Amino acid sequence: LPKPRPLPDPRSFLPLTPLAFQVLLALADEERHGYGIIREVETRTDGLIRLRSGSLYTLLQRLLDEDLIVESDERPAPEKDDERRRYYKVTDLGRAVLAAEARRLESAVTEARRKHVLGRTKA
Amino acid sequence: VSTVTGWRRLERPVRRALRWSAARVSDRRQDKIAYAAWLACVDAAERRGPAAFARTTLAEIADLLSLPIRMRAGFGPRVSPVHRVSLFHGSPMTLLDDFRRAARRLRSNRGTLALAIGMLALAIGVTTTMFTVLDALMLHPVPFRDPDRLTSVVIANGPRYLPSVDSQVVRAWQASGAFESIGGALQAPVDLDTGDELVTKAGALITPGLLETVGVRPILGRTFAAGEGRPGTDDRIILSEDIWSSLFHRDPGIIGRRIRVSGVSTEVIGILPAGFRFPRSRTVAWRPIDLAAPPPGQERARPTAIARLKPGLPAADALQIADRALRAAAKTDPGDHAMFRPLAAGMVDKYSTRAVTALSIGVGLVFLVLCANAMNLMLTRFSARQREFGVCSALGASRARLLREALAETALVGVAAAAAGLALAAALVSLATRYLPEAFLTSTLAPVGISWRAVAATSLLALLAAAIAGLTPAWMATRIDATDALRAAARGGTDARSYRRLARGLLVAEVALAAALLAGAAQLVRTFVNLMSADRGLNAEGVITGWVSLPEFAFKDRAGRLAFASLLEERLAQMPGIQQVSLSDGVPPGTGSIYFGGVRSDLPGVPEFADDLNIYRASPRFFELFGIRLLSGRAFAVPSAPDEAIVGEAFAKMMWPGHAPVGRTFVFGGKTTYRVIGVVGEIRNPLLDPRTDRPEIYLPLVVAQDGRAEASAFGRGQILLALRCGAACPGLDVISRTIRSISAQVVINTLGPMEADYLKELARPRAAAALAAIFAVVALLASAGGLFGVLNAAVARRRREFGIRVALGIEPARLTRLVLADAARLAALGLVFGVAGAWALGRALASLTYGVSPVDPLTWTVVVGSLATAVLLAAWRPSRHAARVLPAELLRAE
Repeated sequence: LPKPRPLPDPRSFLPLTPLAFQVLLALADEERHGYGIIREVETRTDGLIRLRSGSLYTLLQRLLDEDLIVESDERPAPEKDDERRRYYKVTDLGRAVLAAEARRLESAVTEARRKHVLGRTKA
Repeated sequence: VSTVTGWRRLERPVRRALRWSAARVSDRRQDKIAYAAWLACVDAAERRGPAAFARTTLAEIADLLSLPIRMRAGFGPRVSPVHRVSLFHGSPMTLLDDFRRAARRLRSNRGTLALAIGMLALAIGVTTTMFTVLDALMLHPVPFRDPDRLTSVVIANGPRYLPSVDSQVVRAWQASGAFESIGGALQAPVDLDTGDELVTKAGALITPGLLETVGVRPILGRTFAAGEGRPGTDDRIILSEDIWSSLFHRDPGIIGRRIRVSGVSTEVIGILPAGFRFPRSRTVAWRPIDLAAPPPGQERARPTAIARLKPGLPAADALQIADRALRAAAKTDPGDHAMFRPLAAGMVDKYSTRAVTALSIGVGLVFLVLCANAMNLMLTRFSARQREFGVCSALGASRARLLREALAETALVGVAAAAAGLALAAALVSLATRYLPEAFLTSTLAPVGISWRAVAATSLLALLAAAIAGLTPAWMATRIDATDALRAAARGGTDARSYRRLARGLLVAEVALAAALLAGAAQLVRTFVNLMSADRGLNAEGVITGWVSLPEFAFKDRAGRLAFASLLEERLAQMPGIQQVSLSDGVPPGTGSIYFGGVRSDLPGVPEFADDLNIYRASPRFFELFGIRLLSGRAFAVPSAPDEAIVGEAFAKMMWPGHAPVGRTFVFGGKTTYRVIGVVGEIRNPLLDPRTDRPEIYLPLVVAQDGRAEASAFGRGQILLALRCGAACPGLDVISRTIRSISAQVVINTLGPMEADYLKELARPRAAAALAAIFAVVALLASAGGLFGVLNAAVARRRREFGIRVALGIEPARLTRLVLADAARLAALGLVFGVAGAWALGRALASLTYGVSPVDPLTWTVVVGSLATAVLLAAWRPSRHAARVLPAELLRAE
């Protein structure tokens, strides 16, 4: 029997690179294939972040190595699918890391707001 | 759907291309990546058409191709950020955005940045100027076309060589085919008659074709044609643009006009550009000479030969051919052989070489000081922006992104500084050409001016300066621990501390460099003072000297010259205000005739004197007028016997050690015997080059020959006239007019106080001292400014602490002392390093100093004194501020 691996501390992955954060975010709500991730990130960031396939697949490999994502076995309906496509989903660890990173960013933004970096809010 | 099927047809080739691109990634993932890339391409095609398809495909391929390289360099996609930097990541558009943002920020913070840009511009400006001088004097002294193929050809024998050759040798070389072309040049000054006066200028006789050999084109008119320079066709002249401007007011009708040159009506046929100097650095007029049929008086001319080597022929082969031609054409001594000698060899003397090198080192140090100062300013700026960087980083900006922003700003500062520096350099160069002693600038054929090399140097320097000033601060500012960047920066955490440490380190370096520069400058200034105040063995005060030259065309024989000279002496002596008049063929500094050795004493056992000595031909009043003491014997009478000689003390001691010299004889040059009738005090020439201080022999100017008086000198047609004034000297114009009233055809040169001649002689040490002093002051001011900034920041940072201390009852005066002590510590540390630097610099300066030791106490008093003053001035305001902290105010602010 393989020994269960202890779950690493999600905070040890912080801070994530913006690309890694975006990829995890893209997989947060549904499983996607590589090209789906590219499109999701692109539409969500209004074209600001445009991943290239080579970069994406290298990053996906890293995320796989770090156990933040896994390849999914579930496939969509055959008429929408291409058998050669690989689908990815976030692991529990990946979800925890994503949340930790989001919280970190949130506190940073809060801090920035407190210092009126984003302009003064109306009292 | 139809378009999709259309693209599908392309699937195979494009996917193959993509897979080929991904081939280096790994076999396993190749297909996967290629497939995703293909999907991206198809999607682009479906949504935005063929252009987008092509663009996306190319972008994907580029991405895949660059991936292995990026991975190896550590720039590939990562999960967590690592502190690696990619400066080149991102499209040109975002880079442009960086610059736009940087420019906006620069505009909003003018003060500091103007100061930083000013510092860098000053650094770049002075360094470029120095480079320009260095370039003209030492790096590219021959500013002609293909200078590597230009050479002068001389006849060498053992260690000696003759720079000039017989004209038939030049003609033999012309016929030998050893060179692409070869010509001869002779120095021949010209007396130009401008209508108002006669002006003597350095000129040359050159063979037709020589200007083409060198590679110069006239800006007006033509050059000499073959056959010009024979009797009948030698009345042509080419002038330099300089003369054309200064004497002929750029008259466009000059070509074809006839002017009187040395008494001969001569046609101006061309104007050469102002920067062109050849064959010597002062030549401004050229006349033709045909070596096959030279004009009268030039039959025995020995020109220097200047050749352009053939492109295909190796220099050694050319030399061999020239050698054979030499042997065939002229009688040669055994061992004589042709030799190539660089055109500019020997033009720049050792003093200039050393001085320019030492000053370049000085400029390098100033450059470093100013860069350090600019770096300190950038440090302040970036440390203030660290909080902003922290926020950006927290929001996901990578370090590369931040660094790029910081560097964009630095780059803009660099560009601005380069532009300002270049403008400054242009101004400084024109100042330098106007005020630097001629000897510095005209000892080369290359005119000192901003060239493309200088512009390249400036750009390189700007890059260096901006890199020095901007990189480290940018690097430090973007080194952000994102999790607690904001808080740490606000409280003055570790990063702030490392900023301070760097700032203080820089300051210590600045103080050290300034101290070293000060010490060096103090040595050069003292050298100049020593040279000025050194005992010269004669009294130049109240003496006016001038050269009166008697052109050959007007004074044909010796009798005529002597008649003029006696009349001159008589008339001037009658002028009110003039006490004494003397005529001679030269006087220190710098003139008189230099002979090489060959003097034998009549005292047995004394070795032959085989060194340089000065021979002056002087009228009887010479010694009295210059205040040269007569130690024994008598002065000359009028006329003297031709074998009479007066010797200097040093010469007497060498020739007749332990004996009274008066009445003894010596043989000069193996044939002429002279009898010593007097011994006079030694004339010293306190110059950096001890070889210029030679022993003296004086011979009578007017001798009795066959029962009648005859002038022994004036062979060159020049008389040095010296006048000692009483209480008030007559005006120089009055003296000139009196001389001209005797003969209107004389040329009067350099009439003026003799002190001015000494000053001119010392112009280079003076310029070196002045420049070094300027460098030192700039460095001192820069470090004082830097110190002020650092102390000010320190006091501002410690206001809280000081306030608390005041509240606890510390005396404000103690706070003042605290800040002053801090400044003193920094300065003392700088001084320690500065001493080491000064020691190294002192060794480099050793050959440029006169009577100053590197451990000279006065020098160091000056250094420490000025440093202390500067530190005190810089620390004064911050220390007073420290004392004025009001605790109540601080508490309110909290």
